[in-house]
Amino acid sequence: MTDRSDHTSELLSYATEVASTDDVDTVFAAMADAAEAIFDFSSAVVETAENGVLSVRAWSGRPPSVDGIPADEGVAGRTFQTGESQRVDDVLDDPRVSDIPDGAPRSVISVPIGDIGVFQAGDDEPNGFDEGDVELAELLASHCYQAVQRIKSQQALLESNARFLKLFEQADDALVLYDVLSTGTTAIRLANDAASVLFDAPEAQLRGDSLSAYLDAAPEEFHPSDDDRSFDTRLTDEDGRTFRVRVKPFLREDGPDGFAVVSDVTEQVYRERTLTELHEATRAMLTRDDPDGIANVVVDTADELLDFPYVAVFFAASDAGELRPAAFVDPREGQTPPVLEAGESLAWEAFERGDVMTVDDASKHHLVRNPDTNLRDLVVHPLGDHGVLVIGAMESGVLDPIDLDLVGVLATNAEAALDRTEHVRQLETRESELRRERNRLAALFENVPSPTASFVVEDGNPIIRSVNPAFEAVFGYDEAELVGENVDEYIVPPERETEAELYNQKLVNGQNINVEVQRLTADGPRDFLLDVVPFRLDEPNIHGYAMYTDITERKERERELERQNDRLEEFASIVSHDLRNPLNVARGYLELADQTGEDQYFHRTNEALERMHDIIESVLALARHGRSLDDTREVSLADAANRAWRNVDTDTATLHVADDATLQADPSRFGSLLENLFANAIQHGTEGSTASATADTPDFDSLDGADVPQSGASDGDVEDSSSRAADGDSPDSIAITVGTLDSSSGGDNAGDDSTRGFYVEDDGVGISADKRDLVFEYGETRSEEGTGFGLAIVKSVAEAHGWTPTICESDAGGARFEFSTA
Amino acid sequence: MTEERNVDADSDEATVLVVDDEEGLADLYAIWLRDQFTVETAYDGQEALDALDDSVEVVLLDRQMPGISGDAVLDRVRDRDLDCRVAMVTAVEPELDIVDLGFDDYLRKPVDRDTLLETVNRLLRRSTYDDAVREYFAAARKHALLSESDDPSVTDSEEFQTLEGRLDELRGRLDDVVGDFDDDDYEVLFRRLSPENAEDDG
Repeated sequence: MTDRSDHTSELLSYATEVASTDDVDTVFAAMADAAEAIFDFSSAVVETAENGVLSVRAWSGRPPSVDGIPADEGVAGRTFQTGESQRVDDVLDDPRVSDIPDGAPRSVISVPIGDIGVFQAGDDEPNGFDEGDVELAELLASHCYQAVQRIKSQQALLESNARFLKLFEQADDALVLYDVLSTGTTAIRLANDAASVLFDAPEAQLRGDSLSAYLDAAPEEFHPSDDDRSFDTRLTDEDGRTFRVRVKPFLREDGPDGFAVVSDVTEQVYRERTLTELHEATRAMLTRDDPDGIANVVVDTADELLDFPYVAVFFAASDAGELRPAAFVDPREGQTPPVLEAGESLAWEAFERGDVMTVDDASKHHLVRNPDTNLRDLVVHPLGDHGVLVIGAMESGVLDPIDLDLVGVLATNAEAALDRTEHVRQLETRESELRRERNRLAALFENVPSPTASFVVEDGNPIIRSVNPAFEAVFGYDEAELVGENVDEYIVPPERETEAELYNQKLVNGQNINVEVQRLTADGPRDFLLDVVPFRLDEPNIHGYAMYTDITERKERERELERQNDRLEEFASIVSHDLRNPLNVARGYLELADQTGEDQYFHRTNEALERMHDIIESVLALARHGRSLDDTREVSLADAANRAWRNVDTDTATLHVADDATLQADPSRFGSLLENLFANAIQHGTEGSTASATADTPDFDSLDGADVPQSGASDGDVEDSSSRAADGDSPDSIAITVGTLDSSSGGDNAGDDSTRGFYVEDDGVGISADKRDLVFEYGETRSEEGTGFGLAIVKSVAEAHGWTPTICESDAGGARFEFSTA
Repeated sequence: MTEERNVDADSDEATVLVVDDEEGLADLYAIWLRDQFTVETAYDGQEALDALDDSVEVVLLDRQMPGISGDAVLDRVRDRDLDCRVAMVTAVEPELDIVDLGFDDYLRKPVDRDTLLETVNRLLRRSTYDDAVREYFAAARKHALLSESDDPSVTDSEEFQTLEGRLDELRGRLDDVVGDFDDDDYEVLFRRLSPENAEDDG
């Protein structure tokens, strides 16, 4: 037990002792000493926590058995961890104590020293300490803690100051701390070495001076504000350099008011200015469309940016191997740069190789054109294919890398500007060519003789944009009427709409169209070759031209040729068919005649051969009559009819010529036409058949051996058996009438050229309406005995004359053939 | 109507009817045939129909005749169910319309004596065959005729395809009776079965 009233002075003495020390170990050692003076104990230790261990820092009484213990073990650990004092009256009888080491005290007190350690005292007897001892120990620990804390914060401050000073002194920029006086001027309080060097005065001399004494700025410029301020200025002692001054308030109480950082930004400002000028020069170059204008900008800019007296731009001549001066600055009065021929100068070399050339004495270079030049440093920078930029000086070694960089940037920009100019020029040329081309196309469009429309496909429909005059004339619409309309709705015939839509789909698919179509023109439907070429412009829609070439006549010729071919084919097949029978007969009987020698077989062979002869003659006659006419003259219808009548075996038939007219005709063929008509009427008029007879060739005789008429028609009929039965008898008398079409009333129109045509009619049984279309076709009315060519010959003669034959019924109910000559 | 008979003809001779509006030709055929057959001649369709009766075994029929055409006569023959063989003898080139005609053979003019005699004899032989066999030969002949056509639309036609189908069907049925054929018919059959050799056998 300790009498605590006696210990106030020891505590005070301890507090006094540690207040003046700045060594932590002294504080701990003094604590151990003070504790010995205050308590009765057998041992005491001061331990501080470090890296999880409570280490012994000082002791008194019996020396501690260990240097330290883990910071979370035992009574000391508990004290440190909880921050609460512990008193153990008997270690043998306390749950907080276990594993008691040999020589351990029986009773212990343990108090925390703030958060840094523990003070612990032990006694060899139980109950060695009371609450008073705990309080004393806590007071002692409190003094110790405060002393340690004070020492620590003093050390931190010192370190901080030292660091600041070091930074301050070692900074490359000039740093100045200063006061702002009530007069508004500034007074330097602290300046670093850089400031001394910059202002060319030792710090001691600088102190108290105004910043305005050294920097060319009013005192107010240095007044710090809440925002950082910054301005560029120069030294009052002008040396060409530029400084950027940043002003900040100094926030420590009792400290200086302001803090200035002064940096040398000469280089930076120079670069900024250079860059700005280069930008401006580039901008200026890009607004020029002429190479000479660009050359002037380049020379002006180089002259301004670079401190070199000689600047020149040469351009390569497009048509000759030489470089011609375009713009220059030359300090040598009256000097004009020469035209540089290929291969004889430094500039040409650089241009040819496309590389920058730098020399430090142009006069001594082996490529120099003029060895007497007074240029020394020289740089030649090619401008692509356009030419070169040349910079020169009168001395050697004055070109530095920055100058070279600037020349490079300037030259590169100049090249880009020249490229652009050239490109623009090319575009303009192309554009004017296109414009000319378009004008030519427009003229072609307007003048092409084929109807042509320009259109655009919208929603699958070809909408007209313009049409040419030929289109207007052929289709009969004004352009104004058609523009914006679907062309198909105007010129496609209704039955062709589906086909037109098919073509439109091809257009939408971008396919060309080259087809034969029919379109409605002002003169009705005509055939065209339609050519459409679709193309896509920048717009999504398809544009195109549709050209209509009129092929109506060609198509008609084609169709006519086709008809003729069909007829010819049919004709050939019928003729060959008709020749086969008599051929077969002739062969067969000739063979029999050969075997038997009987006359009747020779006779029949001969008959068959005669028939073949007749057929061939008829074919030739038909072909001859169908040929175009070589010689026509005025022929009297009446005369021709009477002459023909004499050539036909008329038997009991009669001819009546109702009236006469003069026709333009080939007399021989016209006669043939009439003869065949008469023969047909006589042969068939009584039989009600539609067969034809042939008048101008002998007809094949029947097997019965009846007489063969030599000139006339008497046979040929589908009902050949009855014909044969009637052979030799006189048919009922047939009356045939010939007259003019416009005078059937009986008026005498002889010599009247206004006749519309003529007719031949009979009073026989006629031709039924359903057969009238067929009777003119060869083979349709072929008979056993006639060759079947008669009416075919009539038709071909009529057509050769341009007459249109038609068949109708006569007043008497017989057949009437009309021939319209109109 | 004319009837030409061999003076020596006995009652066993087969009767052939020749129909052609080209009288000289009809007479010629009659002269060629009369040594072996009893021949009747008709110069148009109506005469042919009048002459047709059960005694006629073979008809040689022109197609293109005034009045009643050969095709119409053929139809009547089949309608009347006369048991006779019919050969068309014509200058008309065979076209698709022959598919529906009920002929047994088809000769194109001009024909010579030997061909005519062979044809009649062959048709008489066929009369002893089964209906299916006769139908097979008729179809095979049509097929051969149409296969010669230069016009591809003929062999591409539906009618032609149907004909081929019918031919295949008939050939299947023929396997049973093929043993009864004589040599000539075998020959026809073999030609028919080798397409590159599908020629006129008449």
